Amino acid sequence: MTVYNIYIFNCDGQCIYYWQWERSGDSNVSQVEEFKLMYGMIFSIKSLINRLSPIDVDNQFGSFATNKNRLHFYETQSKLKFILNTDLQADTGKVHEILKEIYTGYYVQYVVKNPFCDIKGVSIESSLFTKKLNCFISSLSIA
Amino acid sequence: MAKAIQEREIGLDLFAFLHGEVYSFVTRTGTDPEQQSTKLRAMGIRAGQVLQERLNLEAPRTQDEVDIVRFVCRDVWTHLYLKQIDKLRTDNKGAYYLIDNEFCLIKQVSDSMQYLRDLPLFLEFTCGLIQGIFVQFGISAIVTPEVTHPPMCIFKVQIHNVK
Repeated sequence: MTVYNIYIFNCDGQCIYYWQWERSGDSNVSQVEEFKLMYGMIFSIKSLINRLSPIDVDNQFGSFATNKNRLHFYETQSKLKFILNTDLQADTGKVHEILKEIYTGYYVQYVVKNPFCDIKGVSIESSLFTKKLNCFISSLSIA
Repeated sequence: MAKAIQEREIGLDLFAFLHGEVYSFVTRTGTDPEQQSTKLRAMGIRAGQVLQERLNLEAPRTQDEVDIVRFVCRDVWTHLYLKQIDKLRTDNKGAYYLIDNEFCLIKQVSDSMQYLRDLPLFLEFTCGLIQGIFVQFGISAIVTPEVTHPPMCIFKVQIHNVK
């Protein structure tokens, strides 16, 4: 399974973290624009699902696939949004667990528990978080 | 048993968050770093004094300097941070070096040069805590933090012998 990149958005829609491991296709827009596009798309999909859902139960957006890659989405109770792009071999259930692990085992441990990282901040500056996340993702790609 | 450990870990997390907020509050509202460090240290000293009263209930009566240092390394550290001090060194001239290889309050902060500038101020409260404990035993000491390779932390305790 190859992981391409990760976006983390806070409850206000600002991208507080972006990291890419493999990316061959570059979008033509600036990074700020790209984050806005990504957030806008996720927001729209969620609202469409709420309105157009064929069943009446609580329906939540999990992932979508193109013919080349799959995008996975995980939102926490505190409206923090994790978006992961992987290749098509990834098993969605497993990636859901992975995103949950990134939230509980890495975000909470190295960002929330870091007193120098402002929880209402606009970006995650901790290099320890990046380092640990990279280790985690590399271990997944090998497995 | 596992539940008790989990509860203690939650207690430690709660303390870490509160300590982080105290640090943020002092650095946000003060302007002079000297003043900030004095405030944090004074808070630590007072907390250390009451902590000593609370933790020393079962310890034997007569204790010399080395016993008190060991008390801090073992009992105090275990009660507060769920582990003991990893190494203790002394230069036999009244200075003790308490070495913690993975100090839990900075374990999640950094393991590189990042934030190194702010870490000594961050550790002022902890130093004050150790100092306060010594005060309650009647020993005057100055504790200084040394962080060169986080999360390893060295607390230098310099005892002042007033004879």
